[in-house]
Amino acid sequence: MSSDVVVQSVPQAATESPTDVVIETRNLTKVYRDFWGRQKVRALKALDLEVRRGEIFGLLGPNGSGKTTTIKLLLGLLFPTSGRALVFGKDATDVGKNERIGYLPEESYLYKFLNAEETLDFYARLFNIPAAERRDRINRLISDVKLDWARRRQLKEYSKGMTRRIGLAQALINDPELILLDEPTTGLDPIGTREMKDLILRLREEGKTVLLCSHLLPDIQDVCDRIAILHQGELKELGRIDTLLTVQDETQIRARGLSAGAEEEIRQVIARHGGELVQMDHPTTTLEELFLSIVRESEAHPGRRAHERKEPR
Amino acid sequence: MEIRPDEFLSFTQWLGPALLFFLIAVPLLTFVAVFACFVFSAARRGPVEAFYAVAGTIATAIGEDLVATSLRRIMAIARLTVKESIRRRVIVGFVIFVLIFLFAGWFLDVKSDDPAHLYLSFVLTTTGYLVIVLGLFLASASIPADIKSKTIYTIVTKPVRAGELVVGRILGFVAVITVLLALMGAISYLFVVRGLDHEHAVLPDSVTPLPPRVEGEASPGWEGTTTMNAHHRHTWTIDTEGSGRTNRLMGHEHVVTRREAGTGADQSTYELGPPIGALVARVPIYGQLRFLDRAGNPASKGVSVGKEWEYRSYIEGRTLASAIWTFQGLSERDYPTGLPLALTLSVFRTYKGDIVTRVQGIVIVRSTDPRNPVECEPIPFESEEFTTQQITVPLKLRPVGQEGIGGGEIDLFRDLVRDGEVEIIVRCDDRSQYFGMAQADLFIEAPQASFVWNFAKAYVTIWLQMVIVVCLSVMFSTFLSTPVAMLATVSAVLLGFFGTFVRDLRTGDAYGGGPVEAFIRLVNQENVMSPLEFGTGEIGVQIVKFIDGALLLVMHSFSAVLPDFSGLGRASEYVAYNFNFYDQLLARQCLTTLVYVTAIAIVGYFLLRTRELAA
Ligand SMILES: Nc1ncnc2c1ncn2[C@@H]1O[C@H](COP(=O)(O)OP(=O)(O)OP(=O)(O)O)[C@@H](O)[C@H]1O
Ligand SMILES: [Mg+2]
Repeated sequence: MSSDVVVQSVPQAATESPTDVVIETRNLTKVYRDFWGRQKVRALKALDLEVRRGEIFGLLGPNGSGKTTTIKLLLGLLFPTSGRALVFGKDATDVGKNERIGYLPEESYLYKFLNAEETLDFYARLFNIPAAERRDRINRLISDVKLDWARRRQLKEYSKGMTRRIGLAQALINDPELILLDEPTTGLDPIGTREMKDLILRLREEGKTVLLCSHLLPDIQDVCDRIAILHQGELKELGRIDTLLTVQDETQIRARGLSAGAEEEIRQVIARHGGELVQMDHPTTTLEELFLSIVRESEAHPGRRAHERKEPR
Repeated sequence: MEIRPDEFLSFTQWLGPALLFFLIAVPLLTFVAVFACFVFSAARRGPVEAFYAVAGTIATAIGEDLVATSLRRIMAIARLTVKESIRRRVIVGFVIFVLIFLFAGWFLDVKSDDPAHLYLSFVLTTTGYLVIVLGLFLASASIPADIKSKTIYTIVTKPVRAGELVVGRILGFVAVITVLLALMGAISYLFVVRGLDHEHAVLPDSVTPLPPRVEGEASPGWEGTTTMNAHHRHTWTIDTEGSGRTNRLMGHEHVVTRREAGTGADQSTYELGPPIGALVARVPIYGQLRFLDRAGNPASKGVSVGKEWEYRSYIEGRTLASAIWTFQGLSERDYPTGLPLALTLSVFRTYKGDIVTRVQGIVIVRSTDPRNPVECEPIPFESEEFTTQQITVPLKLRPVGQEGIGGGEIDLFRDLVRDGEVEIIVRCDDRSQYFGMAQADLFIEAPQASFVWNFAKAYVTIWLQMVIVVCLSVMFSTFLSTPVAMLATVSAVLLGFFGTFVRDLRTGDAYGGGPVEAFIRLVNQENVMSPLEFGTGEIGVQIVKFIDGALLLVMHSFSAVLPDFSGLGRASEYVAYNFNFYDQLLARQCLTTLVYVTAIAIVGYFLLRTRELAA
């Protein structure tokens, strides 16, 4: 008699040593100011984050929630108004850390007058890569992002998705340990999106750390280990994605091969506890539902961390 | 052409004071800059944090960025810059240049008395301006464009130091423009040479035998005239040996040769060579000038005749008043046919007399030996105002005074020049007339230097100016948008160009007053000499003077630290006037430019480094 009662349990987070922290932000705050120093936007409010080695970390949030701002702060493109951003234990403005970082910007900001090969060659020369290896890598990356057929064409002739691909190749030119991807799948076709996700998973297998931000929930759901949800510059949710998507206050039982007696017994147990059996397991919600509920919640109660919700859904 | 006093200094003479200035100015400016940064930062974040920010920035600059700077990355960015410039069609600038030259041939006035000057100054100014404008436009656009298009995000998130970006950009633009400038130089050279080239033929009917020097002797040769070409016609003479020359006209002459076709002279044909002497690099040897007053006593200056600019001092005619130049470094080897003097005089007449009669002057050569101050008999000359006149002191001279040496003849180099040193005295020989002279008005013409090298030197100084403009543009564009950066660069260049003028305005050596006064004069259409006055009276004038004083002080302080662009433009003037530009002066300018370029690049580095690029 086989029974596949599925009782999902919270997977134990692997114990990691503190040296494995790749990204750390402490109380990171960013206020955009205009030319006269007047406050324009509070884009990020006291963000505390930790991303560990080998993780795929997703930054989630609606438009204008501060995802790109966070990434720029981590790269030293912006200076924090207060708080600190540390990458590999060094301040984000330290240039040396860039040796181990790859960055794909929101849009591919590349030189339009270069062709694919020249683009990668230029960026490769900014790293200490021997000439022979540089050529190998350029060839490999161009075929990895499936641009062999357009390698000699100037980027100004590229379509959006093609530009995105060469942008990704550019981000990987130095075989980085940490890759920051700002909305990696925008502009990609479904196949491209699939390939991008596969690539991200492959990077994890290689032991790389990936921080990606997106509002395309399926992407995040498919690849991320942990996510943080930002809304209006505030951190609303942070945790392992499987945990977050597990609804802890519901148990769902679904069984096969139980005798009518056994079923009756279970029903009685449930009835004794004042419940009504529907199905027995912990259902998972979709990320979309979680996301929408958090945003709705946050709009209803600004400033409150989403964890604090307790009322049954 | 006026020579500026400081241009006489040799490299070593200049280096000492220059180094001293450098050692004072650099720490001072650094301190001012650091302090300004601190104040600026303190205003935003408070003094303690500002202190740590400034100290931290300087510490990383030296401790990390400087150490980690890599030539590979600099070259990568320079290469990118070159590619960008090529693909963005800098060639357009070059095409404009060629077009200007194609058309210029029509517009240049070839009837001018000095076509070489015209051609040279045209070519040098055109290239100079074009290259500077090109540098300005290219260099001030790059970094703002990178920031605007956000391509800079992908660069600064690589291990690129701000300094590498600045230097790489500068190098790239300099490389591009250097190539263009070299091409322009070559084209200019051809343009000048071909523009001045022309041919004459001998008018066959004009050939006549020269009259004999002494009655009854054979004719010493022939003379004749040439055909009219390039708006002029020469006369020429040729000796019986068959070597001859035309007269010097429009700055050049031709060699005349005779080709024997039969036995008699009548059957001979005469041929004229290409123009020579138009493109030369004359090497003036300047002396130290001192004056004697009318009683023959040493005077620091001659008299001032009031109306003229301060530049020249005047000596009175028929008195002991003299202008005495002491020359050094003369050797017989360089002057086998005598000492060629070039004299430019200004004449001040106290009575008009008859304007056609020229004022007479004398030149005396005197030994500087204090025990035996031999001097030669005065060599008389007629003053030619406003032009440079040539007087050659012959090798054999007559002594003046009692002790006539060896048959009443003395040798210039054996008896007068002592250790390469000699004095040349100029006096005015007409009563109540005055000669005005300055140091550069009398010089000895040493053997000529290479024109091509001289021409190249002018291009080197144009190149130096271009490099400074590119550096300034890149530096300003690290924190300003393209148009503003261009404006800032142009202001810096102008202020650097008029630096000397601003200083003279402050000291009162130049007339016209400061900006406000100048504006008032402009509006009231007053000349610069009359005292300033307008409606409100004395108080108003005082206020204007005060504001102008402050403005001039600010402008002067700025111009004191800016490169001297008018000095850098001097080589072009020298070349256009067919003078050799001093190698030593060129070396000074190269070194100065290097210092400026380094300083500007460092400033650019700090500006870019402390800039929040994504804001
Ligand atoms: N350079 C800037 N100057 C002023 N405000 C800015 C600037 N960049 C971003 N902001 C503001 O900061 C906030 C966060 O912007 P950010 O780009 O981080 O959002 P995001 O989460 O990346 O959004 P999206 O999903 O649309 O990319 C927004 O309100 C935006 O208007
Ligand atoms: Mg974004």
